[in-house]
Amino acid sequence: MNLEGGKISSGQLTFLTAAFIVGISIIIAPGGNAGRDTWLAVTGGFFISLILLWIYLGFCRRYPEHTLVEINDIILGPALGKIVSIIYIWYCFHAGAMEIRIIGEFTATLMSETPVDIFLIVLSITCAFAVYHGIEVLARCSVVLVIMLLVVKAFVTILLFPLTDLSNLLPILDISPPLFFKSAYAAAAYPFGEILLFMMILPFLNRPQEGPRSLVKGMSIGFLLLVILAVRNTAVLGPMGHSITFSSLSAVRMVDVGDVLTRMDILVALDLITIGFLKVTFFYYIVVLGLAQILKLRSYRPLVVPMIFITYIFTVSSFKSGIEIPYYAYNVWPLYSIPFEIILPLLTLLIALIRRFPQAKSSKGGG
Amino acid sequence: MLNRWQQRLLAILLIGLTLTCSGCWGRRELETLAIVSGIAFDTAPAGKSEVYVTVQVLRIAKAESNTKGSPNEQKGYVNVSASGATVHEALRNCTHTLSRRLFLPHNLIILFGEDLARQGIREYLDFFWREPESRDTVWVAVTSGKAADMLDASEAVETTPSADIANLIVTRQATSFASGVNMHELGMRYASKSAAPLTSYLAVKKDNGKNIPKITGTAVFDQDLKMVGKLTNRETRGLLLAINQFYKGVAVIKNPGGEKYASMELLKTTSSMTPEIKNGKLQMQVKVRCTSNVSEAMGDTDLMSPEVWESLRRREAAVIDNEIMMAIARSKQLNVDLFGFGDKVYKKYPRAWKQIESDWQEVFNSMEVKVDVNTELQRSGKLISPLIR
Repeated sequence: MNLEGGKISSGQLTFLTAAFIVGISIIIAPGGNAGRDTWLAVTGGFFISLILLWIYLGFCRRYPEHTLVEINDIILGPALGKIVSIIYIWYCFHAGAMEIRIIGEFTATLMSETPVDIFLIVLSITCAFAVYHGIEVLARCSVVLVIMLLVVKAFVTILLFPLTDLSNLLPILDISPPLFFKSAYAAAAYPFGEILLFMMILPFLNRPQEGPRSLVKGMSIGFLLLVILAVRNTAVLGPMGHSITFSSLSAVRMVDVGDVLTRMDILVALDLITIGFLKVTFFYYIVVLGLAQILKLRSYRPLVVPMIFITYIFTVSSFKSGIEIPYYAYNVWPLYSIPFEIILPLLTLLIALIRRFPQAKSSKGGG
Repeated sequence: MLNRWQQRLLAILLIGLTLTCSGCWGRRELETLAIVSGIAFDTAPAGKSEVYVTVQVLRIAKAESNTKGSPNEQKGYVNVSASGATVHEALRNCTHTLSRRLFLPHNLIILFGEDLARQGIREYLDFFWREPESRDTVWVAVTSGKAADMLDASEAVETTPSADIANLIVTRQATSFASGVNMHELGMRYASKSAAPLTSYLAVKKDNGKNIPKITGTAVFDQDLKMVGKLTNRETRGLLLAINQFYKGVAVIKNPGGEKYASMELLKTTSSMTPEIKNGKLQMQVKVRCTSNVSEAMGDTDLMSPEVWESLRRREAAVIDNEIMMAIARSKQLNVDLFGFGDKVYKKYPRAWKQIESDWQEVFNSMEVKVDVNTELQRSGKLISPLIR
């Protein structure tokens, strides 16, 4: 725990969680496969993820002073624990790479002649800078940026009222149940289930007992925002919605108030880049912090720069083209997340129950 | 480490650098752009199956200085034509005769010649829905004759014909006798379950040897985006009244007890369409509610009596009811669902819809539509009764 000297308040954790939940879901609706019923899929996903959160928090309550990596070490033993921790870190690394790639693809759609690498590199450097300065900086950024996000979203959504036709949401649930559950589960896996990674930072709260409440509050803020966006986009885009790449962008482009308040699409890009920055930085932070704890380093800072390079290369090489991403995000990623978000935590819980929640050995600074 | 002053200096330096050295990779300066203000598509000449496009480009310096000067002066725009296998190729081919690259975000209007519209415009639209540079707020219209000619019509008020046409579409709201449809609304109707896609319709009015564009009625498409017919002004207004897209307009009625006419200015109109299944039969209930002012009474009827007031109100309702019935009849005759009734049915009765979806048009053609118009008169303007000597 001496890796991170900073402390964050529970209020900051709420905003950080909200930013984490929203992330790039501003532009790619979670559970978007459900079409008109996306908002219901998001709702379903949220409630599924609350069950998962309850499991995760079960660990945190028993080990309030330990991060996920340390908990694995304690419950599974040093060898197996480290393997499991590395698997989690890999998941975090992969999710962060996906995230940053989608931000790059979005900006590249807007500016089709600029190579996507430019966006990726600039964003990576900014994130690296934030990671270098630790969790406190990230938490303080998130307060400012999330408030800005909420204000901008409210502004644009109000401007879209004249185009909002709520009857486009009807009929409700006219899709096959398997498709609905698939979509709801996709929303649970991404972004709600990734809340698992917050087990890495809960010990850095100045009042750890308030952590669970802040997490649920932040998740609820993010969830409400995503539902409002899903409802708004469906109401504005109607039957066109299912073929549109970035529905928020297409909806916001329709804003035209008296020929003066038009061309608001840059606001979507602004939101995406600020919130995406928070989320990517969080992923990076978890990756370097986790690696440092596994390797028992005295500081995570030496890892930041190499990690940025590795992520960048992985990001660029993980997809041949942007066309693959929507398919991958809706069909592959939810399944890919199952072992990390459900199976591994459940197995760990099972072992912990069998071993009756072993306590940490006296070596307090072991992590 | 840097001391405090050095830190500040560095910060100022960095901020200065970002302000002066920033730029955009795909930057295009104003003087290298050909700002497109209108695009017209026509059937390719001489039996070729190509996309044939005419693009109206602003000459910015001219457009500003051209304040209705001498007719010999250069115009504020230039029209360029090109062809290609696809829309994008045709647009790019414009650079063969135009020295600048086309810039689409300020495009106002996409026109289709009627011949082309009747052959179908589906394949022309994908580009505009897909291309990030093109906005979905662009107006779409069908023109009588060649669309390219419309881009060369005499400009009336604005600096370019395309801006003129775009403003015609905006100001049509004064009468609601014509539809105004942008790419977004066209897409919504095309992607919907049953609503027939619509666009504005532009005719040409000859005036002293000049061609002047005139907006009139609506062009109607079938589900494959092939134009199937036109609506007259009154049919268009009936349609807009029923689908709650009516803006402003004047209802002309016969004066009670006289041959002369009176005008009702429609102020606020709201309407709803509700499907109803009664005894296994589908029917549609159209409810229109409007408030209006008496804006003119050409005869010398005294408006001070409640009977006259009531009579005016009922006559106005009859006019509106008649226009909606005309639109419904026309819709059945053209064999399309102008109103999007099918979508209403789908939203309210998704199960019943599945059974009738395949032969919806027949169901629609034989469906009973009940129109219920409720009018309310508010004021009679500066006069209570006409001036009589």
